[in-house]
Amino acid sequence: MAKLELSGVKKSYGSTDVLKGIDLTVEDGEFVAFVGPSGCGKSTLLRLICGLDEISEGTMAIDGHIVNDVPPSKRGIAMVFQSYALYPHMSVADNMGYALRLAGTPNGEIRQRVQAAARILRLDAYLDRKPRQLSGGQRQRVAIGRAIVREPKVFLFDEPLSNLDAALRVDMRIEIARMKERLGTTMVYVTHDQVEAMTLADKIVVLNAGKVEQIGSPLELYNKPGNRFVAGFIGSPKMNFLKLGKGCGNGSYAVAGGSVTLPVFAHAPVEIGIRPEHLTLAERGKNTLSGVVAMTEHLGSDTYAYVALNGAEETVVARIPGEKTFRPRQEVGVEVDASVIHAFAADGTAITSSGNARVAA
Amino acid sequence: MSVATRPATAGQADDVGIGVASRSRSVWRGPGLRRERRHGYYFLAPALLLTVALIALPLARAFWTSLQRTRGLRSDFTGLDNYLYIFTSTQFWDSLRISVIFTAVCVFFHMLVGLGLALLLKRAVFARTLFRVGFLAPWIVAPSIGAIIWVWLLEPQFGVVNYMLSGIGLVDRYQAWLGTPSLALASVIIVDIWRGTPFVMLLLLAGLQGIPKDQYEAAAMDGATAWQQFRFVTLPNLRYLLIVSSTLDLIYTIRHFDIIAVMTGGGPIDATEVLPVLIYNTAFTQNNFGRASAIGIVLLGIILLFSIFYLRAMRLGKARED
Repeated sequence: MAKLELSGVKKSYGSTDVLKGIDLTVEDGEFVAFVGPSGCGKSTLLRLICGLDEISEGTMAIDGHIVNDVPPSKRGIAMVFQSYALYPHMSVADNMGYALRLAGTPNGEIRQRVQAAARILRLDAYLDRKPRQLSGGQRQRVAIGRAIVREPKVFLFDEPLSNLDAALRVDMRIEIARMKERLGTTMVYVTHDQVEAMTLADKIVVLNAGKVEQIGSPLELYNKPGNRFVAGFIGSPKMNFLKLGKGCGNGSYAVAGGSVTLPVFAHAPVEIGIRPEHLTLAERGKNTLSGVVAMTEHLGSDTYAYVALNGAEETVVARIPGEKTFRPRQEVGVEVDASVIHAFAADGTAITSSGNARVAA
Repeated sequence: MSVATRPATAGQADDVGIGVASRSRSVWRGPGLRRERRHGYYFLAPALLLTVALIALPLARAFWTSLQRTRGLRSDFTGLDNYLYIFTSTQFWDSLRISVIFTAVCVFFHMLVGLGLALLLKRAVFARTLFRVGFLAPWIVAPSIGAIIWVWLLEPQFGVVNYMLSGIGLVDRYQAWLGTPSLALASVIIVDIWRGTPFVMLLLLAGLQGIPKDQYEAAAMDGATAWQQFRFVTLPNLRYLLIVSSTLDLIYTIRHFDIIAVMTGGGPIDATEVLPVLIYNTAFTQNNFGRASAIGIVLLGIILLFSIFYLRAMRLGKARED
């Protein structure tokens, strides 16, 4: 159980700044996920936390003690590696108990703790096997077991599920969620899969180019993205962005062959964002934008329809009920749920409003 | 041959692809398969011929010679006399003893120094390529050329080695490295360590680079010291490579000829006469080809023994990777 505080943490390799000042607090028992595109620095940040890389500037504290210079094994943290990093020549039990053995824990206690962890992860039957005799999911569980056995203050996960196939990934996700409930330990989880982040995390940290874009609960990030980057990164399919044309007073702007009326903002919006589920395809009518269906993807429960809007370069994607079908090149009207439009200023920050927007053709 | 590839192969053999496909299935079972096998032998033939001409025939000839007593151009069949002679002569057993010492000490140090250098090179941060090429140099130089250079270096009166060692007061000035029986074996061993280490280093460096970095990181998180990381991550991961490369090196070193032949010719007083040098001396100094062939066959037997071990180790390593 521990609180993790990072302030002004920077990391640079030579003249390349990988992390440009990270301020972050992970509360005791919280599950925090780092997400972001490849190269955003999320894995680097995790490596700084566990101590495998040195912090260039700034401080990191666990439970109020600054640990910048404390070696990884003394920080009271455990890490689950993407590749599992199991020792190939050791049995499952030896893999799990290795840290305790190095720490000089009595054999009896090692066995007890390994067996307890094995029971949690349903590995009892495999304790004598070597890693190569296990499936991917079992190896992953051993890697987690190795972390559990140490009874760390903080758990770190570095893309733990990315080497598993889709079905197994869902199982392991549930397994990790269960483990989080059971252990209640502080956990930091790096992933590029936003579904994992959304479903597991109490708090998500969105990183981009070495900076924190936004920190918040999954729904906060989804419903109130702080900027265009977060709006585009969280959510699948991605949010639709439409450039605003000239304003013609009264908060009305030209957009995609129609117009949108936005509440009055402090800053001039240049772009609006609409989530796919807030678009409806309908007959062409008065209050709709119009376009041509470019293609549809049927997922069973949902259908994603890609529509090339008339009078705009952008193609938008609408998430519609699964039973609906459209022909390619079919002319359709696109209705926008104006109550949930996101507006962005020129610098990409989201502009919040009190009133409602209105879209018309 | 899998079923799927058969039609394609037969199609290529026969110009009329469609005609082949419409013929009955028995084509694949009967004459077709036999024809395929015959084609296989055609492809094998060049390699097979070369192997027979260059390896099997000379080997058979050597074995035949080992059963003869040769005098000048005359040779008489004497059965196993040559073998009886060598197994009862002290010269052979002395030579075998020297071979075993030479090979064991050399291989041990090839591995030890090779592993040490590989570990250093893996960590080297600057001038890595330069070091790699530099350490490889002894291996690139032809062994006999290297041996000649060493003869100069070890020359008692004007050699650099004596000059440097006496400079720091370790030896008196006229140490006859290759002329003293007790020093000669040690000297050629040192030169062979110089020659044989780079190859082992290269193999082990490749092995080291293949060890996943995160195993070391996991060990660091588990609290392993540098020694424990070596003991529990590096060594187990290199285990099979160490077995395979030391066996390979053993086979190579036990039949190594150039360095000793050039540096001492087996002397002084046979102190460095390893088996290959004994074979050479028996054949070309004593003109006793029959006996030399017999010793050669015995050496071949020893090498085959290690080769079997090598192949087993390889197979074990492969099985482990699956």
